Amino acid sequence: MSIPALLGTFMGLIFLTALTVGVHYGVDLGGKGNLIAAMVIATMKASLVLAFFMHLVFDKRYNFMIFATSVLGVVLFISIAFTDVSQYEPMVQQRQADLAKAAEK
Amino acid sequence: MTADAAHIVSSRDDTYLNHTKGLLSWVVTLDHKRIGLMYLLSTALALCLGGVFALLVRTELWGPEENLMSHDVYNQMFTLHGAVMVFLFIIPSIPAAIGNFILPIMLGVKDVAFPRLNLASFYIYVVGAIFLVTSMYLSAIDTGWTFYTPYSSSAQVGSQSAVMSSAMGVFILGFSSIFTGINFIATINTMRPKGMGWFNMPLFLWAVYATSIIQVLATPVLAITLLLLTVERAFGLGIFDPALGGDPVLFQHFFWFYSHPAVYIMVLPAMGVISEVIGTFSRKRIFGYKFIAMSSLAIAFIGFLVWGHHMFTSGQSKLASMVFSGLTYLVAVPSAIKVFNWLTTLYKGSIRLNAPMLYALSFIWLFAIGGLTGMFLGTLAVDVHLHDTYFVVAHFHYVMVGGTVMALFAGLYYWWPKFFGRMYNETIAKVACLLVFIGFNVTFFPQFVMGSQGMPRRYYTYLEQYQPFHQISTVGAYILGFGILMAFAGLILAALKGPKAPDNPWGANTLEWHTSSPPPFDNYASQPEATDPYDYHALVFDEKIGGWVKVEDAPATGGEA
Amino acid sequence: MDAAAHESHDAHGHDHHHDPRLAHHFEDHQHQFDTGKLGIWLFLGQELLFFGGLFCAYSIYRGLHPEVFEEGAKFLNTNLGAVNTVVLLFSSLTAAWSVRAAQLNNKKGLILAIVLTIGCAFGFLGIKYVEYSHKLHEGVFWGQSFHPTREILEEAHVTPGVVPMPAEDGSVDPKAEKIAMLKPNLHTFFSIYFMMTGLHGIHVIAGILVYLWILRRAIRGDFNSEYYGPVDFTALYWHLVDLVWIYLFPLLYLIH
Repeated sequence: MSIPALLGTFMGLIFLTALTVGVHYGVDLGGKGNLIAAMVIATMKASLVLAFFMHLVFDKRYNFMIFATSVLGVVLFISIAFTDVSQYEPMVQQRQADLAKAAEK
Repeated sequence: MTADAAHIVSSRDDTYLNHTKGLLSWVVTLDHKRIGLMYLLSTALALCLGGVFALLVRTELWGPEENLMSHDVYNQMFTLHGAVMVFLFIIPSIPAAIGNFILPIMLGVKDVAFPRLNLASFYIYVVGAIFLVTSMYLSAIDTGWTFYTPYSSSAQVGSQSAVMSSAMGVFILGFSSIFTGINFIATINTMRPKGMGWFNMPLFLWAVYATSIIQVLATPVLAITLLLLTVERAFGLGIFDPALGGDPVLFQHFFWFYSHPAVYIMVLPAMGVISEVIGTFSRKRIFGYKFIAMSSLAIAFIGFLVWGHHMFTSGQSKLASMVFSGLTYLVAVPSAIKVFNWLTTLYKGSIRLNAPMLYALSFIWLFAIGGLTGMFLGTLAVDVHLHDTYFVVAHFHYVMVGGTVMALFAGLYYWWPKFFGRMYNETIAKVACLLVFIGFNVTFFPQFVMGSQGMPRRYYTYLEQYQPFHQISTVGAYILGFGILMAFAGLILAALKGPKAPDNPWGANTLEWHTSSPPPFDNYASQPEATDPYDYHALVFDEKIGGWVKVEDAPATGGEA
Repeated sequence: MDAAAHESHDAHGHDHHHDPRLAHHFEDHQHQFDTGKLGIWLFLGQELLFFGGLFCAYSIYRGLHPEVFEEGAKFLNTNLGAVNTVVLLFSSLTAAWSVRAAQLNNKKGLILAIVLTIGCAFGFLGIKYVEYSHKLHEGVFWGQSFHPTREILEEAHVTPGVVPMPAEDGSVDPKAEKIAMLKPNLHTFFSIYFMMTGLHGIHVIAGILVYLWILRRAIRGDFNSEYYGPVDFTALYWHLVDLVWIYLFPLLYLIH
């Protein structure tokens, strides 16, 4: 990789870090809004690292496929587990409330 | 080793077995064949150890009262049986033992891509095994092999430090499995010989490839699960323990995200072995090559989407249960594709009933029963009745023992002449196969019946109405154990005293049969050309050497097949 | 995955080629490099799933109890986290630079880049040590050991309330000094915080060890434009460690 590409990637990463800290302190987008903003910036940073520092743009496509498959695995795992837990959580809460009520009596 | 025409005259003066000598030359070897044999030895020991635990459990269950051991010891015995069999035996057995030996030779290369990593993963396996077995001295783990929280993270009875030792053991074993997977994927991807495209690969390689994908993608989740469990137990982390605000059902999500795909780590390589054996002993091109190859990948992929069917009754939400139940049926499609293709290969083949073929046919029979009973369990409403009964026990033993152990013996008897250059005794092998088949069915078929009548699994005692089933099952277990010992005896006798085997005793056309038996240290004198792995007409039987040779190398007077 | 780099001292018989760094079962350096690279990417893939478990626990607990995470993040020092991010990003730059230097046969540049990377790694761990020791000193532990002192509660500006603070043994005495309203299960945040950053820290330590080995080989002059696989593979691993931190920083420190 050429020196300008290396330094450019690095400067981009530093800029995005400053941006995400700035958004955290200075801008209130609501709880979810700030989370989304932070994640978008983090993903931009991750893409920079992957594309240039880790040479994925110049590399064999198969290596990218491995990485993409792993990301897919993580997403699958988190999303399904998350969906299920958020589905049964109200029942758990209800049960705990009932138990608390019963204890009061 | 004469460099020319190695496949006709095998000069056995330099093989991988005698290339270097002494214990040290085995302990630090980088040769995939020796590492494969070391894996084979250790997994066989694990099978025997797990088998002893199984027999102890079955003996205790002869009657509902205390026969051999207290209920606490009983809990430890069934846990150790499960943990040893799953983590020390089934998962590494076919891929790491047979796969290590056969995969590079099938590819016509000198070694796997990373030989040092290969040796490292063997020693990681040994260290993990030591941790797991050490738990026996620490009053033994009694949580069941599934380590369910909160019992595993907080119980103060019996299993204090044993849970941590076992969980760390399985954590370490996981990395052995991951490294083997990385090695095989890299080897198959980059080291195929010229002329061997993806769709010229033997089906065993496709199966191992699909297995390796699961090993690399699923096993790390098991590792982090058990790490969390260990830290939870040691420091009271509170991720899984409800007393500390954790969620025990989340543990099951974590655990089954690995352990369901792990079922396919166990059975996919077995299917690969069967695909090789069925074709060879039917002397007919394997039917539906691409479908069998792709169904391996499909099973690996769908295997990642169905883990929730282990959790139908453990507090999982209705939505997730319905989705998982639906997806579970999808697994049946690629599995059935394989079975139909094997059966179609048999049709109008010239079938020879040698021992490997008998084991392979047993596999199809038992796997079909195991697979079809899986359909019952995947059905939500039925599962509520059958969950955690002996029906489940029988179901997964039909797939894992009836499937994988049968395929392991099919593979061992099939490749044994290649491993050691010696033939086994056909009578011993066949009688052993018959004993295993009968013993297995006598053991586990009654369990379907008593399970459907409501006998829960893992119970120490039971109602009198179940006693006949338990007693039949126990008798069967001893027959099965004797059969497995006999099968091993047949193999050991062959390795020590068997008659010399020809290079290609079965007339198979995959590359490993084109080198001498046992293979030389470098596998081949020179890089072999890829062949069509299922073209059986390229070979004729040569009576002089008692084996098969290429048509163009056959002596003019050679016999016709 | 240094195994990709095995020099073939294993005497697998007849070695035609003279370069001892090319293993006997590869055709040429390019073949060996490609295979090694595939291996390291597979390894990184499994690392992703390994951390994925923790990210899963994180998302579920944050999704269900965002208030716990908002309160927990108040105990963390955002400035130190940001500085550590920059340190780690800089080490990624030097790691990428080391690959460039190796490709260009620049031995001095290679050694310098590796030394800088190791230095940054130690710097990262140093700052992490400051953060950890402050928390542990003030009783901010994980799980059942979570007993924050009054000082750190005030320092974190946790909303004052009327609920009595549990004593060290977990018992609640209604007459005890009423200091602050702690969100129920606040300790879960710190369980996750310590697991994620701790596991990441272990990866940093592992990276340092591998880089020390690479440094030794670089000084010995093992690497050149034809053979630099181990430098590249170690850098890839190092970038992954950076990548994990890129997500950990906003997820743990920047909670609104």
